[in-house]
Amino acid sequence: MTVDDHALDRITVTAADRDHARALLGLGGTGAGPADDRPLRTVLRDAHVGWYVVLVLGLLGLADTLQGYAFGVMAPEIARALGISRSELATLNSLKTLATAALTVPLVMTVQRTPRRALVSVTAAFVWALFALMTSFVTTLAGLAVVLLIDGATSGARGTMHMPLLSDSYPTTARVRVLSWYSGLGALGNVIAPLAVAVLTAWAGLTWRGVFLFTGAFTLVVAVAALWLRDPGFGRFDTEQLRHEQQGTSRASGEQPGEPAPTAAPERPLLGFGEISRRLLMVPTIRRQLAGWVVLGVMAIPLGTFLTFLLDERWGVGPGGRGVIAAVQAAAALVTLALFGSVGERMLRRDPASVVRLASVFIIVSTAATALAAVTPVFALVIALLVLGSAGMAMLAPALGALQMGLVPAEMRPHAIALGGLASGFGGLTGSLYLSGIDRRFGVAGAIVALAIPGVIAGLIMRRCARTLDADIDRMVTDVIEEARVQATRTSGGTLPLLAVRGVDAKYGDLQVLFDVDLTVNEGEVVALLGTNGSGKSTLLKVVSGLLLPSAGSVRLSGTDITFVSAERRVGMGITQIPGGHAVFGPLTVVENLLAYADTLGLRSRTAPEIERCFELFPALADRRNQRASTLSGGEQQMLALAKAALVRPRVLLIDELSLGLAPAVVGELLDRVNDLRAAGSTIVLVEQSVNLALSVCERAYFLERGQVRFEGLGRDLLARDDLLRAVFLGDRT
Amino acid sequence: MHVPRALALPLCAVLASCSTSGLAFRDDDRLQIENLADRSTIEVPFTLEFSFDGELPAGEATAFGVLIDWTPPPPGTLLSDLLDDDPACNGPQGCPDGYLERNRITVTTDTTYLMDNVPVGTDRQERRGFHEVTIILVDAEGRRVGESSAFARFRVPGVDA
Repeated sequence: MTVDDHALDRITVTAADRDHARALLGLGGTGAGPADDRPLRTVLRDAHVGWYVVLVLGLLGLADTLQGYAFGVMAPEIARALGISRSELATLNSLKTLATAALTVPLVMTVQRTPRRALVSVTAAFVWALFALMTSFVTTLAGLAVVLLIDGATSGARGTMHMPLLSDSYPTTARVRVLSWYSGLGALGNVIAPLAVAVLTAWAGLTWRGVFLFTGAFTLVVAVAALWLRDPGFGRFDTEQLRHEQQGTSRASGEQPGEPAPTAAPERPLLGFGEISRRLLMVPTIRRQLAGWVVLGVMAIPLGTFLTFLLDERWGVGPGGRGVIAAVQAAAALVTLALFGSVGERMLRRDPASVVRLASVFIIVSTAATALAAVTPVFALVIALLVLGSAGMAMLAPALGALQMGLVPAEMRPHAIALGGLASGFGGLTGSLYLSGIDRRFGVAGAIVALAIPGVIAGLIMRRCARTLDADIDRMVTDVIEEARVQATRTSGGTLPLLAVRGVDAKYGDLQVLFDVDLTVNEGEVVALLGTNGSGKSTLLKVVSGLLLPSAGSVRLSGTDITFVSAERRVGMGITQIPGGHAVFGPLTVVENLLAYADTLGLRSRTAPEIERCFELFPALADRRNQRASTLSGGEQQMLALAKAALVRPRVLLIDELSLGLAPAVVGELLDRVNDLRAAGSTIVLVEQSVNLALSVCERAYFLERGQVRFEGLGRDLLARDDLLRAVFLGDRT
Repeated sequence: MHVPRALALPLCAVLASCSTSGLAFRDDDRLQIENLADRSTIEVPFTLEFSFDGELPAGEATAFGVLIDWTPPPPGTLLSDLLDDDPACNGPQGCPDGYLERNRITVTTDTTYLMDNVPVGTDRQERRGFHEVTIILVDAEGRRVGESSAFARFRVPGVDA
């Protein structure tokens, strides 16, 4: 079978394609028109989306804030009623933080394959309301601990589900404004919560139990209101829109985004949590952002506690006064969010990196203001600086949130947020340890001043994200376009190569080994991969087999994107690699080697007949079945390696340095076996140092030098390229 | 998703620790501290005055527990449980006579209490935190009854002040 010659050209993504796509996604691009300056209500009305989603999710956020505030401010009363010490309460709070971070993982796993973020959000709201109500009736420390664990889990659901749900529910031209609204409702909770707690305790005369009964009932009402939430599907307004456009099925003017379109469903392997996380961690901007979240967590998570003690101990401000100050800070945050919504929208559309730079400035200014507040002798100035600090930090959620949403494919957004939560949670725990020592020695003001150090570092790390942001957005856009075009090719009946490697970069740490490498292998071919030592041949095989993830580019098997599928799963999909020089277990016998391999791959029920089939293919091994592999000759060991590979009947067999150190006669026999495997249906990629040897079994060859493909074509044409072969293979050529 | 199964265990755990009787949903201000405002500074010895609006319920609470710098025990548990980890109280007879009082845990039927053994540190230590006094209701055995409590924080000038 041969590949449609034009299929690969159609799939190739050009700079102009990316530019157009970025404009469509509202993430820069020279084709981007002016920002959508229409009022938000007009944008939403024209897109036929209402306010319901942002309001309901915002109210759920508000209820979370209310409950969190109630727990914080009434902690002494809870402690006295249940007989819990302050340290036990602090431990419970840490437990909740840990639960919030850790339980996001199973929550995210429930939505990574099916878009049911709305269902998870609504379920979490009901569970949360139930447990909030039950908090009122708890009489023991253990009961309270369980309640806080569940509270942490539901807060985790809020953190990971709401922002992706909002991003997919509203057009990209309104994303920053919608996220600002959502954050604003959360901030409004900080204004309302102190007032509500004050009214409920002072005016209505409720105890903490009464307050939790009220907050539980309020949450229940909001949860009921959220029953009409529906998940719009992954990437309704961005990546799916782009896919539809690339598949040539742009929506008719009357058709609404998100409605089922007559396109081929994407045929992608469903990635697991670990695979998605690894894929996200390959994005330099995400890695930097996570580092930023860790350091920001060191500062931001313990900050609230230390500010409370500063106001309490240094300025004698009681719970009521602290509530008023918190409300003023929240009001300032609301003002920031109102101002930032439209400005951020314009900046994101014009130059996404400018949003990151602005966020980093806000982090540093806010941190400096808060540190100054700790040592300022004038109370009014302290309040002004605290308000400035919280106002500055308020814009981080919509700014960095919108960027994060734009940087990763829609189905991976909850994972990105979960990783961010884990990072900042880890930072928070580290911050508590860091500050407890400083507090003991320098007091609470010293601790807050010390927080300026991680704050400034976090700002600088976030600023570094601007350097890689454009390249990473381009990469995401390329992935989406390429995927869409592959689907379009399939739909139109085009034939795709069995193995296609496109634009692959690969690194070991900071050392880049492969640069924009393309490799195409058709079904039934034997392709040689040639090159000097260190040219990247083995690295390329590792990228194909999944032992190494590329930092850019894609790997496709029959058009299916397997770039981030784990090596274990790739074996199941038909890709097997024989590593160079160490492909057998020396202490095990021949048959034990085969059994171990079969067992690892889960072939147990048909192990015996498959092993016998291998011995028929490799009769020399049958005579030595009970001999230790380490006592076999080099040729026999390579034969055993081939037999192990044959056991799984691979679709693509990757062979690394088959002939290394072997006598020509032995190599000849091995090549016969390779031809047998090909005849049995395997497609083979053969890495070799010896040009003659490789070209004796391969029709086509690739020549790599310093991590780049210098030649691609027929073997006989490569033999004519003295410029490539002279340096390394001069003596080998016949 | 197996939400019902995943929730069953925590639900049972919380239900097991829940109660519907003896819980205070509205402020129980029958118990009041009369002469010590929250966050005030006092000189020791200091006679604390408090009041209980009404009669102590017969058969239930018969006295007041006064605790200085202790978080009160949960309802239904003994004041002496606070010293569970103290080796002096581990014997079969429990805490020695007067041991609770020496540790600032007192049971009294009176509505005054002489605070004369508040541990006072240096002035710097005293300025960094508050002492706490909590009054609760207890029965004849020193077991906490209900969730009623009165509470105040106070500072004492340090010994080097």
